Amino acid sequence: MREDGAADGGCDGNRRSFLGIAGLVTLALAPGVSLIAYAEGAARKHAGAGSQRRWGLLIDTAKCKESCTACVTACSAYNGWKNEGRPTDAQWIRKVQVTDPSTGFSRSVPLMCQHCANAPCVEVCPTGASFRRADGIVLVDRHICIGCRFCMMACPYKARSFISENLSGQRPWAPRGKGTVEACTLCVPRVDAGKVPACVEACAREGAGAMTFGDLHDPASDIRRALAAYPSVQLRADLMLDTGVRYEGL
Amino acid sequence: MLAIRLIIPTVVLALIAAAPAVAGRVPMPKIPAAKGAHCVRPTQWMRKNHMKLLMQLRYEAVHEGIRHKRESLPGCIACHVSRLPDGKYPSASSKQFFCNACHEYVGTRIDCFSCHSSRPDAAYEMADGLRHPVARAHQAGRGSAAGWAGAMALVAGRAASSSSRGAGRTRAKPNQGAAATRRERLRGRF
Amino acid sequence: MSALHFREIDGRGAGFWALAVLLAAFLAAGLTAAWFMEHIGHIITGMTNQVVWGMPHVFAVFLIVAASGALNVASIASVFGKVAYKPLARLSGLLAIALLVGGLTILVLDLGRPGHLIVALTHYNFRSIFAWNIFLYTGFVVVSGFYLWVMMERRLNGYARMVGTVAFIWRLILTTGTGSIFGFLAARQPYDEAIMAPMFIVMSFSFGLAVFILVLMAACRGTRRPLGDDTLMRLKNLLGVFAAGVLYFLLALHITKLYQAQFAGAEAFLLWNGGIYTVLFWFGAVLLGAVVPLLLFWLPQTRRSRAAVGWGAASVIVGGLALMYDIIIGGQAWPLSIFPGMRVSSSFYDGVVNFYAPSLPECALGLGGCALALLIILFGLKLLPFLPESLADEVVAPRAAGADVRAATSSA
Repeated sequence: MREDGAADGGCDGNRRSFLGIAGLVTLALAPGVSLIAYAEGAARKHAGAGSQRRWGLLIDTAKCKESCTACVTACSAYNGWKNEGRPTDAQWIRKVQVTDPSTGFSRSVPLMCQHCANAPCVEVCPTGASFRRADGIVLVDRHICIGCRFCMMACPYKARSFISENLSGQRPWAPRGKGTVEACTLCVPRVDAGKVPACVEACAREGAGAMTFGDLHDPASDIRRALAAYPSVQLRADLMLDTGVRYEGL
Repeated sequence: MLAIRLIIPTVVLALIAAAPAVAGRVPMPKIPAAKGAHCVRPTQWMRKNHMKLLMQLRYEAVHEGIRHKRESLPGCIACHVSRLPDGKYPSASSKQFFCNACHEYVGTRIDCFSCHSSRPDAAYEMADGLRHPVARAHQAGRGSAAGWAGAMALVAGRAASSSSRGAGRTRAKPNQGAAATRRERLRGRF
Repeated sequence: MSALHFREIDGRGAGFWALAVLLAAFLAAGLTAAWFMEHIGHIITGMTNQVVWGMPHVFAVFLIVAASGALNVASIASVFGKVAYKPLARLSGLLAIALLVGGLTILVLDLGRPGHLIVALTHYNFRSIFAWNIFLYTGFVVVSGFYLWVMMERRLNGYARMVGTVAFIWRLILTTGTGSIFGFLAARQPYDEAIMAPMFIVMSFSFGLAVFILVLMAACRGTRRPLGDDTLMRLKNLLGVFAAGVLYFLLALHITKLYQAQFAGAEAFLLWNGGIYTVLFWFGAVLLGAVVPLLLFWLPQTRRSRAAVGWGAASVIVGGLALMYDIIIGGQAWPLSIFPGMRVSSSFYDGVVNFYAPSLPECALGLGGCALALLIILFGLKLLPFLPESLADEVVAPRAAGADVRAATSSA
């Protein structure tokens, strides 16, 4: 990951001006505090998701083995979802076997939320619960999700799941509960902490290292260099969704 | 959530007004003790404003990716939820659960814990996930949460001086060396 | 010329209360089902991560579409100046509101988090057709209510045409919005056609009028008020045209899809080898929704029969529900084409036709919404003068024979 200095400068302007105003107002009330508030505003621009980055994932299907499900297992363990084989079970990531019927050519493909730039789920969500973070990660804000499932109707990748029953034992970093929709978050708490998603880590550790995670806006990043050097595709490229997840060897 | 934001102050105000009458009949809440020495904000401020702080933190974490380890719902849980004498954690719906002690007293209901974990989690506690270089620099570089309290005080429409004094204390970070070793072990989990 | 008098229905007889209790029982069952769905979760329904919208949506969309269509009778009177429809205009407005409230109730109670509904009223994403529909639906109730007031308050009758025009345009936009829910879904092959919007409008004409005819016949029979043959046959002919219109749109939709190789699989599924969905399309939507009513309405043996009008309208409704099921459930049963042209398999039901079996609670919720709509109509008729004392030909006809347009802006 990049060092913090590189993340400089792309902060939300409203936040900064708000904190600036907060600083000015408190200046009148308590001079000591206002200085800290101002320093706080300056410090905060380092943190958080900014549009100077766009997180992406490149999957080399030539390396991905049919028998390997390390990414799925790792995602399930980290985020706390469990597939017991019922049609109501959530699956944030799955392995799809893709075969060309006319040639017999077959590939095993991990499939999850494609984190589209023009995400249909974000477009159709009536409350704005389905949203795209400044750094390209598409998420559901379950505090404002009403559970209408329109996003599930609109997603071309069947990436989303609806929780149909009461849950317990959620991970502290991955809240999830009945009546709301969920999907791959690119392990957003890990990404915010400067780590790679659980699936990518597991693929490198136990699998074939078929997944590359990185900043699509950074010309020096591994993912950008790989994308520039080898042919890759977006799934359902005809829909022009500009996905953050790309595939090689399909 | 909006409803909660509106209802709680109303109910609190109503209770304060009716305090003499109510106190005689309804037993005062027994608030389970927290593990830490002090809260992330002064206790009095938190009693009235914790929901505002939580809403702000929620927005920052979900939409802006600004995550704090202590100032977060799991951070609250880590400190405020302890094992009962029988060794189990209280369920989020029981009276012994920290949030419920007061919420039952004021007749408020929250639905945070149908999604959020209501128990302290060792993996969360020891993970270094939230102290990556960016967050660390940002934590060290600021006067802890004091500036925050300033902004919050503006929202709450109250003088910031008391908040800043209390919040300044959160700067102390206990036991970092040992935690780092444990974090190393649990790196894979977070 | 006999005067046209509107009067409340008595609503004191055993029949009235028996009907009210029956409907209330259905409503109670629906609310109970919704309570269980909220507390236990959607696990008790047949809906899954594959078929995410189920039976509640079939009923809800049908009712919402029928609601906008039910208002047409009033529009024909005040907007297009057909005086013969004037005596029916108030009932048309009542039906529009009642059916919409019934449909919306189902939709709301089916939400995963009905308790978060306040969120839906405070957070809007205006790129979402759903968010627009929240305004279109609530606005429709307000506009229809205002329209009713203008029609029923003698001093405001002069505004009937203006308000009626607003209501008519509003309902066209509303049904466009409902059709666009599906028309905008580029992800799913059976949807994703602009024709969905106009098709839903014609469907609304047909379903709304069919419901209107049945309610009118039942109300007149139940209260022993005369219902003239001319009025009924006029409505019948109109319904025939609308039912044929739906058939035309279905034809246009499927021929367009069939012409493109990429949709061959989806079309074969819906029209040929899709099991229940194929049956529902041919025997439900086509046969019951259009062919049977057209035969009943226009065959020499039955064309003057009042019973045939009732059976034809009922057939349109059953066919309409079948068509809704076919569109909503069948459209989801067909798997997504994530890798066009490829054979796919996974643990998440990729590449296979999705299974759906409606459960009792979701059917109860759907029927509960229908019962709510009928209860609103029943008590609306009892509380306010929606229905004329007589719709006999000699009451309606002299008025119809006069200058339609001239009278349009005057008396109700």
